[in-house]
Amino acid sequence: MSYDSYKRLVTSDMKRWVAMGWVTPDNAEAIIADLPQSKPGNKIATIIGILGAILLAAGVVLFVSANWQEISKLGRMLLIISAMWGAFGFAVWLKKSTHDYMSEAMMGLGAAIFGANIMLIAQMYHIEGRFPDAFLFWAVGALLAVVLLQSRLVLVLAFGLIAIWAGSEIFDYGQKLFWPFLPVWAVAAVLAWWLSFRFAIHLAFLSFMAWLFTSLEQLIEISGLGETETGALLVMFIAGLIVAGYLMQAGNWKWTLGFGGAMANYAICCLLLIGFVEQLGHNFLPDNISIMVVAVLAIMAVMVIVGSLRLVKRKVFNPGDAMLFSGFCAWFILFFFVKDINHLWLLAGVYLGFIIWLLIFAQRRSDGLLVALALLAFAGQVLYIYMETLGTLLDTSLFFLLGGVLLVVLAFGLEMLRRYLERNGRLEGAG
Amino acid sequence: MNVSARLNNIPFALRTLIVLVVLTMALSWMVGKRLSILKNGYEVVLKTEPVDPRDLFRGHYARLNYSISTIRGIKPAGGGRLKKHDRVYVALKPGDNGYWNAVAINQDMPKSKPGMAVIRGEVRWNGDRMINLRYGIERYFAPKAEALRLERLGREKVPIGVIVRLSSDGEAAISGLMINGKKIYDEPLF
Repeated sequence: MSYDSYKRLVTSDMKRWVAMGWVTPDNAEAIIADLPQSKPGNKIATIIGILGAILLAAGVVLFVSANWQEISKLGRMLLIISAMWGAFGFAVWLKKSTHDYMSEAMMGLGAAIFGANIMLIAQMYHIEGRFPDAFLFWAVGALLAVVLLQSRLVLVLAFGLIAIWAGSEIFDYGQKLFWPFLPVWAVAAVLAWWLSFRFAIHLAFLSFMAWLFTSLEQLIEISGLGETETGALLVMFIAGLIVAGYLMQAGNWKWTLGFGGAMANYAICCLLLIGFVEQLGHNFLPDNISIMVVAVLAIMAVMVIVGSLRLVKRKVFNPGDAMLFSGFCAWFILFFFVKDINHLWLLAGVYLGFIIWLLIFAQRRSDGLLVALALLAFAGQVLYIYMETLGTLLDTSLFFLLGGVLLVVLAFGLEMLRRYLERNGRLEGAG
Repeated sequence: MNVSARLNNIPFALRTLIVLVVLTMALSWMVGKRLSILKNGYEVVLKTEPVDPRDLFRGHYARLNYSISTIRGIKPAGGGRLKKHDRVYVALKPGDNGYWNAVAINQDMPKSKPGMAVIRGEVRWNGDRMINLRYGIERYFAPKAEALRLERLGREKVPIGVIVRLSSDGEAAISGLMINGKKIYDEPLF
């Protein structure tokens, strides 16, 4: 929650509490006065500063791109290297003048100009090289700046550069299982944690999951596992992430930097996605499950169950939640190994049940984001069932007529559900 | 004392200076490596046909397709099948027309012989009868008008040669251009 939203919420609640007689008007005034004042000027100056730095960086890149030959190579190089020194030098001056945010913007500009320098040298000396190598070189320079200068903006830039580097290696150069990503990613992730920078921790988590999913096919090939075995392990791993995320949130440990809830939400997104894909393409060839995989799954299952029980103890789950969550995960795993069944009702129905449980669980926790996610998944799943059942049976006109009615009913149902949740006063911020 | 506190004991200006020195040294290493090849490398001339695309970061360039980019009828020494991204060393000898031609493909750097040069490349694809390689010199960056002129000359089948310098381990750097057998451009070091 942003500071401004928090202040608005406290102010509006305070009026209600004064009206109810729980807080005296004097105390309410004192509490509101005690809230730290936000500094809109700072925010605007920071945003404008960062935009200015981005424009300057774009200007430098375009200067390089224009291949301006009126100046000698040495002249061009000195010009752009001086610009890099100038940007970092200005950052030092701004830091000394306690303009920390503007200093950040200048550090970001300096790191961007370092990249422009790499491109300029490559252009001047006709170095084609490998496209991703230039981005790795740039990213390593940016990470060095993050270590020594503790710049958050440069860390965001570094994550972007790492994504371009790894993406190019994977998609352009066909390196389907790109191991070098991991050590570089780990350095950036540790720096995000070291700087207590939550936005970068989100970037670290998302970039790792993106790498994991793009590498899945190769991981299956290398490990010698079947598709279904991998699917089962992946579901269990994600279930573990959900439980671990909620435990981190409930434990409120300092080192987690409050990322537990977000991690659980991301993992739930992954589980929803896997469940949806599983029902769409029931063409997995069920293969024999090895003893090794059974053992690993059993160990992971024990960990998930123990974790769920701890969540019950910490009142995040109630016993019913723990049983339903474990049951749904078990079914998603078992479904990979079932052959020739009516997949629509055996998975789509269970999947819908999982979404409804998720909706109730999110509403009980007043987790607006999760409620919105579950509602979206619910709408998607109902549409999927509608397409599967009607689309193949009726002719086009009837298809559209019934489809229209079904959509209206779905919209009405969703609105009724939203009103019911609102009436209970527990859907805060579900939007 | 933790890492942050230790680091914060060093003045911010000094830390910035360290970053700048390291980044500038990294850029100088890039330039120095190229200068060393351009100054001391072995010179060969390769026949090419340019076309003009654009690079988002580096502007216009002429894409160079060398006569040695696709090698036909030469089996790699040692007999193994080359895979995509494999590193290879191509032995070159001068032809009658002044352009250098590929005479052998090796997976290890061959011993030097008089009148022979070696260029390092990477396998793009390997067909049954031909191998396509890249040498890292396939782009000639130039202002738009110049890049388009080179492309036009290529279309008109005017013989274009690229003067290339080779380091002792086969790394190539473009050092000039020849049109119709005449040197028209000598790449300045600075």
